[in-house]
Amino acid sequence: MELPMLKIAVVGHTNTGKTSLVRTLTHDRSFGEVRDRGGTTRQITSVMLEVNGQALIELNDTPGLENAPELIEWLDELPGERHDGPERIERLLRDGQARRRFDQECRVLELMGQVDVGLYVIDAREPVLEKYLDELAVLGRCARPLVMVLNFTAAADSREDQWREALARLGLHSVLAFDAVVRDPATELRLFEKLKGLLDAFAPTLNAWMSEREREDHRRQGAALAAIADLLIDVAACRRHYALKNDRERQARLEDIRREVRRREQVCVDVLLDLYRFGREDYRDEDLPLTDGRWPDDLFDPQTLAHFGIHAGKFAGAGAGAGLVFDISTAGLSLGTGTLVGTLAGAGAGLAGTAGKRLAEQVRGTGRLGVDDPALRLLAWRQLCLLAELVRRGHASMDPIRTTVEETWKRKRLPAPLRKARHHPEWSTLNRESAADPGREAAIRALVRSLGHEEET
Amino acid sequence: MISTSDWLVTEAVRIHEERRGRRDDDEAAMTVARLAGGNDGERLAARARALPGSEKVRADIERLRGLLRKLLLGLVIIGVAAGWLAARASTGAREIDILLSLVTLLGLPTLMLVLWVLLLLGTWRRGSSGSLIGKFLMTGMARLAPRVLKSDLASEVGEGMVGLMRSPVGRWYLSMMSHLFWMAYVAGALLTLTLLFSVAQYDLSWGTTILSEQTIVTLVGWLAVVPVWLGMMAPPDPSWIAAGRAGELVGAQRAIWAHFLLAMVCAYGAGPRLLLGLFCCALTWRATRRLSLDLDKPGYQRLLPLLSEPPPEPVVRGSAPDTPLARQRKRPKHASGQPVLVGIELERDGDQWPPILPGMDATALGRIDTRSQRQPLIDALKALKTPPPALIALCSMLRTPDAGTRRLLESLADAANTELIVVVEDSTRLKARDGDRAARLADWRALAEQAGGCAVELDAEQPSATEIAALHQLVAGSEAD
Repeated sequence: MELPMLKIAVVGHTNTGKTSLVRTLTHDRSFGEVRDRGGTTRQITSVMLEVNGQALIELNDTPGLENAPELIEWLDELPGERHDGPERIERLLRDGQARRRFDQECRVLELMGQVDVGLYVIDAREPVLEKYLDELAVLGRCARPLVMVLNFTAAADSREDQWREALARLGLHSVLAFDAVVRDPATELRLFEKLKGLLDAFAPTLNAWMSEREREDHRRQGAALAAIADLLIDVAACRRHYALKNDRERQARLEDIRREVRRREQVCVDVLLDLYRFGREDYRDEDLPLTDGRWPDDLFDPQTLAHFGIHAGKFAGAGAGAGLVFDISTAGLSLGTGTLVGTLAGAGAGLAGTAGKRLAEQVRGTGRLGVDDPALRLLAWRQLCLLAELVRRGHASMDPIRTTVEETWKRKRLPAPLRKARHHPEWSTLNRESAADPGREAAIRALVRSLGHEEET
Repeated sequence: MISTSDWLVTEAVRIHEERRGRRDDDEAAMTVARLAGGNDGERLAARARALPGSEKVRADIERLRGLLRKLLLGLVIIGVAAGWLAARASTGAREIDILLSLVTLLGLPTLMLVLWVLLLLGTWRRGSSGSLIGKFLMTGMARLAPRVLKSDLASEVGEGMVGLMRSPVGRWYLSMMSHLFWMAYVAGALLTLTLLFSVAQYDLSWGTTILSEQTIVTLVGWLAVVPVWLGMMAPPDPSWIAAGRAGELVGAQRAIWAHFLLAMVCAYGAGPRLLLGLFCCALTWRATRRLSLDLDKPGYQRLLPLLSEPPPEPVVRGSAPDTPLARQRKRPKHASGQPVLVGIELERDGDQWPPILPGMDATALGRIDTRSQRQPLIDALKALKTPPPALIALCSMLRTPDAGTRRLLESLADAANTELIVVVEDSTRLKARDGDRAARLADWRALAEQAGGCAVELDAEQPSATEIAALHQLVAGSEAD
């Protein structure tokens, strides 16, 4: 079925954040030019929101209204039927002299006649000046529904209440706080819901657009979690062997693990940034917790753990100098009783094999190095933090990662798939012995489920 | 639709990029893929094909296919050999017990068939092919691939192959292979038996120790139903079956019993395998046609927005508006008295008016916040006997200068018939809301110039000496004219 296309005009006084709003709604950070100055947008700019090649919504960014007080006087002085607003606007648009005098305004009013709804953007920090009310009065004569969008409501000097009251006095009750800086993901949805209530005929169009957004977000989030799970499995199963008495080799292997894990983490960060369409140049602007697209603190620095509030645990440094890389051979059962118990429950047969292998290695005189639990926790936690931030910045409809997840990753036992991965060196693509194994796929799926599930609860 | 070879190349690239990072030399490939069009999967495949080094990957896939074919040939040979062995084992002596030899020949294949069905159904969701041969092939692939392949993505190709084997395509393909193996087995057995029966004399009979003879007669009768239905043999006559009882064999019936044995192996050994083989072949073909990439994988999701058609470019309508020309305004020679002060859309409350301009006396005429306040002020300015030396318009930096304000300033200055000085305040508050003070001041300066005046900054809360001096100079400087 062909859905009717909804045409929206984003209007308002100059420098109230109209273009920012369009950017937010198009999810296109490169749309238009945004500056804290008046008259940045000087012409009407239209952009289509499409789903599968069908244009559903036409968003029109407009130059700001600047001279409504004189315009309303001009309109009021026209002879004829006082209450026929559209007719007066028609006459204004036909009047060449007036068009030159009210150039910006006429462009906006002409557009208003062609759209289905207008979003009037208000800088809520501004006092309710008469010139703004004049603008509303002029726009009101276009006989189009208007939704009031209060921008900058999160600012300290916001006058949201005054605005709401003033708008109510004018009989304008479709008001929505939509702070372009905070970009609360849910507000985008609320705006479309509001439009749906106002424009029955376009409900199917708006539904199609919203469900497409939701589908896309869901997909993207699933992919992001899969990327994190893949990283965690790789790191949890990472192993390096060395000759027990060869300290030089041990140091070299330690450094090797650290290097490989850092590289692997960066790969994951890049995937996350790509998924949420953050070009490499956007980092500074969007103040993600990254510097030049990288985590600024080293994963294996105990300070970083402290920064993320992760308890270093008793196994850190078991193998002196190892930092967060631990030495399975010298630390004996340094996997910890927790892991062992978890293994009995989760890995089953895997344990016997590894225990045997470990014994054999002891006899042969080889030691093994792996990545310690706290480092895994840190790795998981900071990728989840980044994802939460990206989701927020990307305005997806996902609740920010909750504290329950924080609890899991900072204190509780690591999820079963990770504990199991400890016993499957072949699962880690960081190891030479890595091999395609259906078990790895299953572990990743389970881990994604547990990550995703925690986010929902 | 995507070919298996394309699927493998694309998967290998994805696996590699998910673990080693996206290639940075993919710009040309991205362009090729964007131009290629088609659905998401086709574009991803086009990109993978166009990446530098993909020929080697494709060569590897061909190599892997060759390897698979060799493995299959090996399987068929083993199957025939196994059939031969089974036939030899069942014809060890010149006296053949028909029922025993049937079990020897058909027992294992039938057991494996049942097992295949059970495993296929039981492990359906895990994508297993249900065949042990499939498992053997898959493990063989995973282990061998990195050793025999030569491209940089050797292990990824191997992993991709394992992934393919776990998909419906692989499931039915491997199932088909397992049926092929058992068909080879039956063929080997039949061939051997025919050969042996042709050149040597065997006595075929049946016997029983605890069952009644009638039971066996009935059993044989039932067993013969399928071959008879298939037209492989004539319906058995009970008397003929009874005649096959061990020790009672008459020479002429040897051939009939041998025929019976061959028909049984054919019907129960080859029949189901042939049917299922064809069935799996059809399913493989169908699955190949339906083969698609799992677009939910992060490695694909990250690329899709970049490969899809770019969203329509924003369309700019209409021409850029003209910038109003700057006007010239001069103080008339006969100007006298104090400068006149008006406030426009100020942030100040009523009790903070009139403001104190440091070291300067000015007549505060009033404030304009609404339209109704405009005309009285304009009238008051017109009513002045002599033009004042300057009209000082106090504005707030929190306001964005706009055309309406410019028009107001113009009409005020016109009414006063003197020079216009715009004084902007509230820079501290602008800073408090993270505003760009310099840019805003520049905008006000531009606006004042368009209205034929000039603008200076004067922060009411913390006026700096330079600001005050600048204002004084403006007022006094113009007086010197």
